[in-house]
Amino acid sequence: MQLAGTIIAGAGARLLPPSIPYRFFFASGLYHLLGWALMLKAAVQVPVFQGGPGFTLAALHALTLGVFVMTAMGASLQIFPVVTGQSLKTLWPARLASWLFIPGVGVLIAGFTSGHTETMAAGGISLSAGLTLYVSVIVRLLAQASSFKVLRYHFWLALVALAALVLIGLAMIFDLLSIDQDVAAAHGTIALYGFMGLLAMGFSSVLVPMFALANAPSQGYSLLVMALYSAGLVVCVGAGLAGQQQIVIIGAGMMLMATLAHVLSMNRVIKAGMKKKLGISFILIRASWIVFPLSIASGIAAVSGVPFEPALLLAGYLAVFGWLLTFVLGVQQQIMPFLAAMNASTAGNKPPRLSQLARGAPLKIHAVCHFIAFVFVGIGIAIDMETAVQAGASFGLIGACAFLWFTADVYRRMNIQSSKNERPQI
Amino acid sequence: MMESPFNILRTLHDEHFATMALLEKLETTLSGARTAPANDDPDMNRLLGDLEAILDEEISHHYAFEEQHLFPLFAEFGDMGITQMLKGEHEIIRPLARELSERARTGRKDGFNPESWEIFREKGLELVEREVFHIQKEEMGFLPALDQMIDEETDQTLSMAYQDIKNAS
Repeated sequence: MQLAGTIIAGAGARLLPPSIPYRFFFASGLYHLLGWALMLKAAVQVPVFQGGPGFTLAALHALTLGVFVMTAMGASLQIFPVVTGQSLKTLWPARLASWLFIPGVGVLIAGFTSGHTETMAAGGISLSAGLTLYVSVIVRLLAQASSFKVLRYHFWLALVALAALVLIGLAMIFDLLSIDQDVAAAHGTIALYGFMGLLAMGFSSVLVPMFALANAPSQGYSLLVMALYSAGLVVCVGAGLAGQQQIVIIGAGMMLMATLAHVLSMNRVIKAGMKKKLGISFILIRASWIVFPLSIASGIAAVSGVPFEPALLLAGYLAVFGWLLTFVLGVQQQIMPFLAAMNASTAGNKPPRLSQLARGAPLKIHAVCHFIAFVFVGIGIAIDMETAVQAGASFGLIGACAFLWFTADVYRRMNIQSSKNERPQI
Repeated sequence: MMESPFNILRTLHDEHFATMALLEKLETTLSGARTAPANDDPDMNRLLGDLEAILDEEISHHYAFEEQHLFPLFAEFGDMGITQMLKGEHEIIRPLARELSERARTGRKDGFNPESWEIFREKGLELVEREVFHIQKEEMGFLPALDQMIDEETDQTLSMAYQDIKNAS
């Protein structure tokens, strides 16, 4: 059976208590809010950001760790038991991972804002311990799976990238590596394009066909794209650390080709899909696919020495805010009501409709604010304009509030529907 | 989406495709029309006619065939949970579709007043949501699994059985 079908048709028996995925989704909502609040606070520094502790770095990690990794953890802890057909034998490792990771991110962010190394170290250790536990849970599940090659291979490579980026991150915190531009760039590239990028591509190959009701791209094609992308990433990071800019461009070029191939295949999936009305979430997801190759192209332009000072910063901005944040929020707003519908459905009872679980208004507000925020902050960075960054971050903040409202509302409605279904039928 | 070598699965997939197209059209129409349409609106009457045809087809043939032939076959391979879930959804959708088909017929003949339109609209949007979610499960889970279970001989037997159900009605 196809993976997507397994998710839909066989999920019931292996659903986790909703509190487990939802604690990650709620935390993601809060860190999303915090990320934009920190951007607002850091407005003057954002256009000239070159790394180092401060509100900008804190905002960046609120989004990367607090939103991207957080959402990936919540979603994969629910999806992998279903797709591998393996129930989690015990739930305490997943719970403990959340207790270590969720506050760990907050402590790390506090450390970045205050510049206090011990606080950064405490946060880094706590979240790394949480991530290690989470990885051990997922590895145990994947080790027993025999199919779903595309997703599994993307996930294995993402784990390699995760190990590399955590090690570099901890080495920077503990002064084991001199924090120069190349090391920081390697850490950022592995985090964004390695860990998160591979997860995003792996999950896309499953979730997009499922939501659009289409065939997934062929396994061979997806694995070839993954191989080209990963090889490009290795070349790019390795050459960057060795200070070989020309080779960095070759590696990034390979990644760009793979990215275009991935995006084109996803567009073909959507075009062939039976479901044409895919809602606001797919406006976000499709927009993120435009920005994904654009971010790499901007990076190539920056490394090639285009006479535009903020080019590299803009490339990073496009990757974090334009591609990943837009993609993750688009996927999250599809997954949450879907999982809620599964959780609220019990045998012999009338399952709730998706519209009974998810309201459209907060998502519309979020989407509008998100795109305005993206454009304004981008302009602020491009022309070094503090007020544009402030205006953008304010819109981002409103959008984040709307998204948190959506998350809380789905959870509340799921509980109402579940309790209705638990009542004896008269 | 199914790209099966088996005739019966392609037939079911094509029916899903037609149903999905109509449901999306119905959703667009119902979402945008809060007031009752005019009796002589040709577009609306065409949509109502198509809706009747699809719903009758979906209820009397497609569901019946799945329940009589495919669910027992599927259950033989041990996964009762999926067929129970799909059958449970049939039982929710079937009366809803029957009522909506009846209301579409009446609406085409006598027109809608504000009350009957509001009910039609509400029931129509509910049907769209439930049927789309149901087709999603069948297309992405049930039919691909059947594709692994049947052979050419079973395909022929099933195709004939489906034709018999259609002819009988």
